Amino acid sequence: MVGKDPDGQLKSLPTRVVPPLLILVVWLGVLSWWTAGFSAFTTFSYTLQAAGPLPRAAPSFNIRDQFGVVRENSAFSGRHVLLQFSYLSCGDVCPLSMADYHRMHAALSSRMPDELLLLTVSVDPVRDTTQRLFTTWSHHGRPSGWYMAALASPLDDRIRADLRRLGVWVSSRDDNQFNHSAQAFLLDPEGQVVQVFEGPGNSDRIVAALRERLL
Amino acid sequence: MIWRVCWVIAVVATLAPPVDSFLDGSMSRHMLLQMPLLVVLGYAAGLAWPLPRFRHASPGLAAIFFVMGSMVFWMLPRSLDAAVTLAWVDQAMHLNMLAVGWILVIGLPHLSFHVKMAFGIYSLAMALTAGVVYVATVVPVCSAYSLQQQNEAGTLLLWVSSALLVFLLGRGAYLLAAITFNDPEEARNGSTSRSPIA
Repeated sequence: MVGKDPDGQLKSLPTRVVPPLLILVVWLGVLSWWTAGFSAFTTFSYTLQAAGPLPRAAPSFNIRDQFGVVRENSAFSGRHVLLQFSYLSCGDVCPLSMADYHRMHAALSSRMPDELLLLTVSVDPVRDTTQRLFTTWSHHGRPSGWYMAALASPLDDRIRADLRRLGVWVSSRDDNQFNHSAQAFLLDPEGQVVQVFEGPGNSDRIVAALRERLL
Repeated sequence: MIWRVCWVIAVVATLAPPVDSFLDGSMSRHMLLQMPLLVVLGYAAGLAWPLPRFRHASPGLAAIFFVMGSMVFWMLPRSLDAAVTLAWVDQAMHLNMLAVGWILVIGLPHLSFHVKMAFGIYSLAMALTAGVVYVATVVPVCSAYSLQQQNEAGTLLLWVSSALLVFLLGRGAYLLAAITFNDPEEARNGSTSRSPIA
């Protein structure tokens, strides 16, 4: 079978079809590899995918809470923990996430702190001092069962690697701000990540899921 | 010869580390200045160093698939992030954009008017969709840029894509009208092989 292109040259069908198809297949392969099978299009979602399937063990890292107590996050094991990362100087996503946490605490306060803890961890320990964390916690009404903590030391490669194993991407920008994953991670009493919630603006769905799990 | 020297100077200037850092520094500059500039430079390279004619292959469709694949890949937020944070990905993006322009020189003359229109409209629709996503989302989708930069890039993408779409549709309507009035029989048959841009 032959065809004729605008230049008047005769070409067989395979000659016409194979090069474009080959390019198409190569691009689809590259895109599939780059997006983990067309499922992760952002750095955040790719990091979450790369952390592995659920349930998975949560890595341990040191945090400093609003009372100045330094401990590993695994110290909260024995009850469910809803863990999310933020920082107090953040002007866009974190205030929405904090508002979600405020609503979730109001809805589930009867289950806290015995069955459930809310844990927000700042990725900006230099600016988010113990005093600043305590003040913010006080503005929210000093909610029992909500720990506002910060990483015990500034971000370095080791901490970033630990956070990636959890499924969290954090990067610092030139303007002293951070971009970080906005998901909330539910850890079971054994310290396993059992559920990941997209955020912010998802508090009703998270509350419903938590009620179901805490039955 | 002078054009080739100018081309080399333009590429070196565009890819020089300070200029590259400046263009990578904001999402708008990265998407709407650096990438199109490299495509234009690639196109200029195709004009300055013309390839021998393809005697045994149809480069039109192959060129479209290559360009579409490249566009889709570099519109992904993960690719944009990687181009900012990883030097080798940034260099791959530069080469890919130059190649896109160069391949357009080879492929475009082999495409009919209808295919060119479809290709243009589809590309702009894709850019418009990306613009809507960048404007509408309340969380950063790129880890290398702030939410404000993302919204700004989305708004600019919407304006530029809309303007180009209006231009493209207007040009298409003008050419179709010109063909219809000059040769109604040819227009009725749907053949535009003698149209000015075929």
